[in-house]
Amino acid sequence: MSFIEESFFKAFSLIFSVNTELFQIIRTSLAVSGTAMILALLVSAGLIYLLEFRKFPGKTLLITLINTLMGLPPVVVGLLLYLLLSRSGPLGVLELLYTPTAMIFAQAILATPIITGLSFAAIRSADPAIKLAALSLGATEFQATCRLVLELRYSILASVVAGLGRLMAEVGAVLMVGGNIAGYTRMMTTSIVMEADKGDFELAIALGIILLLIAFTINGALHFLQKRT
Amino acid sequence: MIKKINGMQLEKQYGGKTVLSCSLQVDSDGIFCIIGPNGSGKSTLLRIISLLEKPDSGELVIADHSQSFVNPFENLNLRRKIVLVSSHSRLFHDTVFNNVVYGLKLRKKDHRNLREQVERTVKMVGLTHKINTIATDLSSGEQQRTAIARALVLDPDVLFLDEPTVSLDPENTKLIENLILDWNKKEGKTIVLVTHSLFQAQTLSDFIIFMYQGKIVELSETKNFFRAPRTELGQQFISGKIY
Ligand SMILES: Nc1ncnc2c1ncn2[C@@H]1O[C@H](COP(=O)(O)OP(=O)(O)OP(=O)(O)O)[C@@H](O)[C@H]1O
Ligand SMILES: [Mg+2]
Repeated sequence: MSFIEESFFKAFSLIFSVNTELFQIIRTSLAVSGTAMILALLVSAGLIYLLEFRKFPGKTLLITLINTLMGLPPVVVGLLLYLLLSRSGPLGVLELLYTPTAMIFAQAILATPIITGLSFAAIRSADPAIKLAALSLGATEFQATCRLVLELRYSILASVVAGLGRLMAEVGAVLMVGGNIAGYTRMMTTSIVMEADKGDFELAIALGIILLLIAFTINGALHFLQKRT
Repeated sequence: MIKKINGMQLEKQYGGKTVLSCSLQVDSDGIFCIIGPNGSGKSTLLRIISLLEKPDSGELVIADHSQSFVNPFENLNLRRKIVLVSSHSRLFHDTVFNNVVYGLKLRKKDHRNLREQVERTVKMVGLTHKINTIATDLSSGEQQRTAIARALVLDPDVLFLDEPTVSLDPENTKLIENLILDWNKKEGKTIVLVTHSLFQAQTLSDFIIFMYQGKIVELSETKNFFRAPRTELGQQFISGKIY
């Protein structure tokens, strides 16, 4: 067996042997990303509400900012968060550095601009006739926008999946603020980097396969939903 | 019930160009037809008097049996007594049933009767066999009839229709025209509709509102208008000399 074949073989046996370390890593990953996603969705919903229904100074600036942040390099988020949370930083007293909470914040900060930016763009570029139809049937401004969101459900769902993709795939920021502490902040992506670095490919490959499966499942579910109607 | 819609010096500009500048008085429960060339401001006027768009200036007074509302744009209860069906109305990506039930649900009408009310109205526009079809998959004529059903089911005091028969075949045109006539006669409610068919205007309406370049040039009884328009422009329009 070649080296690569052997690594894959060991990776599969690792997955099927219900390795506790592996499952610990997966669990941390899912818990951190799941919480970050919920946080990102809540903040995005709030931001979209503000942008759609409220007039305030600096609104155009906020939109530009969100669009800029969509392409924000993850390591920059990691760096900023690191500086904020480090012992001598302004939020140092919270002692959040190298905790799952810090990683949740990092991921949420990365996903929020994507979800907000893409959803808001979809809402803005929607056919105005949809909203007009709802209004003429007696909807309030808010009800008409809810109907619009319902009409745009697939574009909005796609933007949520894009946000989820960015957050699950990310390494740089979580590594900086979470470290890679075994059994505590060790995640799938960070372990892949560390293990591959050490030359231990089997765990890295096993995690890679599982990440791929997760991505495949999410996109498959999205496709299924779109197909259904 | 709404008895009068009174627009005074309504003005609307788009990109610095005045597209509407007119006054209008609708104070009968008849059928009003707005006619005029493309771009003369018919749809814009309809959106303004159906409380969906604010004019840049001017005043709108809507009078009820009991009270009159001045500049009533924020008044939801009043807005819910007026329904506009736009031309090429956009249906929701949902079943015909859910499209028609939408406005009723907003009004939180007695939920037990919803199904029956919707089914009756869908039957009126001849779409019973399509009630569970996704509305946006229907032919444009069927979509247009769904849009009308969605409005009729709400039983508004005033119904505004922008080119209601624009993509319908002769049979369905007749069906919609009869619906409009019946509904007007039975309920005694005001209908204002835009049409490019002079024949339809002549056979359907009690009054003609003739618009040209953002202005109401003439508001006359239909038979008088077609016998002898009061204005030179009206004369030219019905003989096809201006467009
Ligand atoms: N949302 C808008 N933005 C910019 N211009 C507009 C808008 N709505 C209407 N207009 C302009 O206002 C003018 C009047 O338009 P309107 O739709 O009221 O005409 P109309 O009489 O309904 O025409 P048609 O017979 O073609 O339906 C047109 O020149 C149109 O280009
Ligand atoms: Mg028009």
